[in-house]
Amino acid sequence: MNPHEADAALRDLFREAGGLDAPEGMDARVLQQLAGTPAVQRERPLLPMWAWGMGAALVVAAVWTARDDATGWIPAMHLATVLRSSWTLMTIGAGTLLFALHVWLNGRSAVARQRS
Amino acid sequence: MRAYKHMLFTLAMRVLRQREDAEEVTQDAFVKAYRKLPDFTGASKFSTWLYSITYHTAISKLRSRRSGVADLEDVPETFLATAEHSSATHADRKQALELAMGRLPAEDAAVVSLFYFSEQSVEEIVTATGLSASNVKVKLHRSRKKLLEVLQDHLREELWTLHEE
Repeated sequence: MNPHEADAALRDLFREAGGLDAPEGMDARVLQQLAGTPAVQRERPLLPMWAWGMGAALVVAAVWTARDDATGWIPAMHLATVLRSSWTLMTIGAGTLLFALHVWLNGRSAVARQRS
Repeated sequence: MRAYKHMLFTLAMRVLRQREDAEEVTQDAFVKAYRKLPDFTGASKFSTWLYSITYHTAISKLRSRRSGVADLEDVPETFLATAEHSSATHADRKQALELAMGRLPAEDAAVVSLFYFSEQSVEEIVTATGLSASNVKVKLHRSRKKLLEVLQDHLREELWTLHEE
């Protein structure tokens, strides 16, 4: 008997034997337990991942529109100067910190949900 | 719940081998499933997801009860009676199967039950148990060998003719 035949024979045997019957009244006990257990709503992040991506894309688009030779609705700017500005660096730093905080909090709530 | 309670209870019994504990674990698994329902993404089959919750709850219960592997002391008396008939009946075959399953370590018995009884694929067992695919295959290989040894002792030619019927 090769492994496939053995598997088939065992599967037949398990099918023939059937499962074990759950105790009487288990449904009622589960429902009773559930009656006192409020459903846990999944905590949705304040900003979904696509919103972060869209925000980043908008920033890149704005900078691209406003590069040296632009004549659009954003005043022309020297990209190198903008990137060296302390305001830009602070914005990038704050954005990165907020994003890291968002990822960390999401990770913690996922772990908490798994443990419960 | 009606559709799954016997399957989940069977899995819990394979791991714990005590009706009271298995019932408690099955109840807990249903409650956990209800609470975690918003987290079910549909990445796996619903049954696989339920097996996963039940398996992990049962393993936790087993570990809290005592460390290590279930042994023959856990096998109910009725499972230990041997079938001595030359032609095995349905009850004999069921008894022999229970006896053989009782000789497997708890984790292996769960994997075997998921594979042969619940007809889950290796990939689905990996999802349900968190074991690696190679580990599941090794457990299945080892368990198949052990099951056949015990069943051959108790059923002789019956096992093979059953498949051919």
